[in-house]
This record gives sequence, structure tokens and C-alpha cells, in this order.
Amino acid sequence: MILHRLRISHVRNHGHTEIDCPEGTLLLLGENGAGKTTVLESISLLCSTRSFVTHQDRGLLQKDADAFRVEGVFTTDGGSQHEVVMEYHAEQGRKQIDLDHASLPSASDLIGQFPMVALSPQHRPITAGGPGERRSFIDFIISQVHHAYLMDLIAYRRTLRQRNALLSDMDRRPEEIRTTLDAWDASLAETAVRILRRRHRFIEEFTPYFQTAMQGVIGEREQVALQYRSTADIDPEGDAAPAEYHRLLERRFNLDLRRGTTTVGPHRDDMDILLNALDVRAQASQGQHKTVLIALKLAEHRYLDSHLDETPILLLDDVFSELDDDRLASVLQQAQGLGQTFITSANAATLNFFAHADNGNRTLKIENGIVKTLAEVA
Amino acid sequence: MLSTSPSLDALIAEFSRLPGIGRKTAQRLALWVLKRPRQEVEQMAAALLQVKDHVRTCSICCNITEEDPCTICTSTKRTHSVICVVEESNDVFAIERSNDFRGLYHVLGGSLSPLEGIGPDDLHIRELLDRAKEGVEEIILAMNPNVEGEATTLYLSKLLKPFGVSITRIARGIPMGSDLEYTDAATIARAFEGRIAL
Ligand SMILES: [Zn+2]
Repeated sequence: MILHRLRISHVRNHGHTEIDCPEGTLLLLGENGAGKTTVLESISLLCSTRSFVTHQDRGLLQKDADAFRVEGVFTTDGGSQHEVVMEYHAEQGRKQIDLDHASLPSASDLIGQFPMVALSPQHRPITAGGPGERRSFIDFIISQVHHAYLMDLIAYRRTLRQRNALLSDMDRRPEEIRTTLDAWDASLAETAVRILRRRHRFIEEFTPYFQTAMQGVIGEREQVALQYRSTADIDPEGDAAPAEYHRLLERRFNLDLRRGTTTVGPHRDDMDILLNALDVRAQASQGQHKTVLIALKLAEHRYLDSHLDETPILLLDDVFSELDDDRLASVLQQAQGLGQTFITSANAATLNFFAHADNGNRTLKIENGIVKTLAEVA
Repeated sequence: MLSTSPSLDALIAEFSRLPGIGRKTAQRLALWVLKRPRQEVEQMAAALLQVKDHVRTCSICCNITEEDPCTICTSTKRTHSVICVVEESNDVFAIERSNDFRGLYHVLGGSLSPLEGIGPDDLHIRELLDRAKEGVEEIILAMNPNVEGEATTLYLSKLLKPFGVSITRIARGIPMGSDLEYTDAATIARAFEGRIAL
């Protein structure tokens, strides 16, 4: 899939920006704060409905603007053309997404249609941060491949909020808890088991991609593995799993009631990332964190590419300042041939890496939210 | 912003309370009323009061009606041993449009939702249990395909089990997260054919 044209209006420091995107790599050069990342965030909005920097749409508004708009024209690998328009109005406080001039009933309808992989300093918590970061990482990949999984996640969160509302209201509604909790538990169990199945299967499928990518980035020396850590101690496969999960919720009832919340389930789970059998989060060096993250992201791209009809767009935000030259060269070599790629850098020397790159690449310079070609700058 | 007429402001405030109507639309509606002939406005006001005075809840199925029991509950052309349980009166309209269901209805008045403070006592569940005791053969649960509808379905199926009636639910050909009310007749018809025992 190729993003041909991108239009950005009133996002951060971009007043009006229009970019014709090449089929290969687009390199965006500029100082910190010039507005390079905003271009990548805008692409992320079109592909995933969200920026990878913030989940607060209001924070994307240009100063004094009351609405922003992002438009993209995509060509699929099969050759058909699609236009995505996203508008956010501060007054309504929500986004409106149009696909080919028809408004989408729900933002989730867009997920998976225009796949994308982003790597930026914002993703560091995937290897170094809390469990929620790793859950988001795998949930976003699976959601792009299986729409039913995304629907299950949304339903699970809603059911969980309902169950927690009931649990935290014991004083006023003891009778209601006694009579209706079972229905919420049964419902939660069904969805939780489907989510757990998908996550287990995903980790099994994804691990070889991760291993291959890691070898590509740093050579054969290091062994990586992924391990799902479930707070619900049940085997999600098999017909009895939902009933078993339901009984687990019943056993936890007193604890959940005391805490006023649901203490086990997919919303509390984690995934260990192991490097030579050691937990990366607790034991890896700074350099190892970087390479593991890059390998995870390259693996994400290859995984999506082989499980979807569309080749994902790759967004590399400010990864150059993070890496030494050797690593950088190997990452770019890996990225070559992965499809359309957008790269930001504050370092003009980055251009050297593209000096002998293939045709179909392009470099633009950004200053104060204004995009110029190198010819215009000179 | 307030206009120069307190009566107009009051009407705008009333319109603003309607579901899905914002302040701007309310202003437009109020100005429209202002421009209509007096007789037309009287008709409209009378219709509003008429609804309040004459429309009530059927004492059997809890659907909205002007005669109690309602025309569906008293119809001799319908199968009285089958009851389809729905959340709102809108769902009855939707299913009636499809013309595929010839039994009776029961309108719950919503679904379980602790977040909104809606529990079993806030729904017409006791009335449903009373009906289940009296010679009903099948109860079809046709809640909206969302998490609240799902929990309500599970809750009711457990509650109705001791009555020895056959309990089914409509098949989920209807996309999760949508309202039954907005689903087209063909999809609803398919969902009824594919109902499954609980
Ligand atoms: Zn009736």
C-alpha cells in the first residue's frame, strides 16, 4: 500500500501542508520542533485513528485553531485508490472519519484497512515500561489482522467497566450483585477466553518473526523469546475454557469485591520479552533495549505484511539519534524493501545513508511547520 | 446567547432537551415555530399533550399502547404461546416491519447496566416472569447485540429456566455494537430463523 498524497491542516505547527509522497522512502529533515514528527503523526491518524505520540486529539490542534483535518490518498497493493479524511472539531470533542466520501460509523472500522507500523522514542516503554505498553503493542497488531479481536477487546472493556461498577456499589446494591453478577461473569468469561486464545496464538506465530528480525539487526549471537504471562491461570483452548474462567471469577469474588475491581483477566496480563533467557525489562542494557525494540517493530512489519493483503507503511521517527552508525546501517538495510517508509531526522548527515539508495526516494526539509524541497532550501 | 424574548428563550431551552438536538438546532426549531400559523402550533401542542394523556403501557407486554391490553396482545391471529423479549418499543416496530414474527412481545424497557444504575428492578422483568408461568411454550430473547444486551440475555435465560419453557435467542447475524432498531428487515429475518436454544 502506498500513501500518495498527504494534506495536513492545523495540526500542531502545521497550518496547511501538502506532500506528494514517493513510493520508496521519504526523508524529512529538520530541527527539533520543526514539525517533522507531526507529518508522521498525521499518517498515523489516517491509518490507526491515533497519533503514536498522544492519545489526546485536542493536544494535536494548532494554537488558536478549533479544528484540524488530515487527508490521505492511498493506493492498495491491488491497485485501487482510497481517500481517508479525518476531522476533529474541538467543540464536539470527537473525530469524524470519512472513507471514500462516506462517513464511518465508528473509528474502529478503519483499523486494519491501511496498516502501519511506527517506531519512535515514544515506543521505548514497550521494552522498558509497564505491562499496559506491551498489551497495547500486541493488541494493535492482532486488531489490524483480526477485526473480531478488536470487537472483542472493545466489548471486554465495556463488560469490565459494567462488572466493576457493580462491584464498587456493594453497599447500595447487594441484592443486585447477588442476582446479576453471574450474568456479567459469564459474559466476561466468554470474551476473555477469546482474547486469551488469540493472544496465545499470536505470540506463537510472532516469535519466529521476532527471532529473524533480531538476527538481522545484531547477528546470530543473541536468542530472543516471548512469553505470555496470564493473571488468569487457565488453559484458554478447549470448550471448557469459558466455564473454567467463570469459576475462576467466582473464586476471586471476595477479593474483587473488597478491591471494588476485577483483579484478573486480559486487562492485567503481560508479555515477557526474553533476551538470552533474561527478562529484557529488568535486565537489559540501554543498547539492548534499543535493538530489541527495533527488532520487535521490524517483526511487526513483516508479520502484518504476511498476514494482510496490504504492505504496511513504515514510520521511523527520530531513530537516528538513538543509534550508532553500524546499527543504523543495518536497520536501514532491513527497512529497505519493506515498502513505503517515512523517516524523520534532525541530522543532515543522514542523507549520506540515502546517497546510494534506490530510486523512488525523496528528501524534504521542514522548518516551523513548513515543508520545502531541498532545491527550495538551497 | 439569550434573545430579546424570554418566551423564545424558554422554547429554545425545551427543544435543547430533545435527544440529539444541540443549541443551534433548537434555535432554528424555535424560530420555525414562531413563523408557523397559530392553528398549526396549536395542533402540535395538542399532539404533545395527547401522547401524554392517551399513550400508556400495556399491562401485559409493557409496550406502548392506547388501549390496554394492546392490539398485539389481544390479536387472535397471533401465536400466544411464543413471546419475543425486546429492550424497547422501537425494537417491536423493527421486528414488525420484517413481518416474520407472529408471536407476542415483551418490552423490558432497557437492559442491565450498572454504569447507568439500571438493575433488574428497573426493567419489566417481574411482568415477564408472570407471563412465563401461564402456558407459554417459547420465549425468544432478542436483546440488542451489545455487552448490556448480552448480560441481560444470560441473566434472563437463567431466571426463566425453572419455568420449563423453551428459551431461545436470536442468532447474531447482527453486527455487535449496533442497535436492533437500525438493522434492516432481511437481517432480522435471518436472525430469527437462526435462533438457538439456551
Ligand atoms: Zn401488549
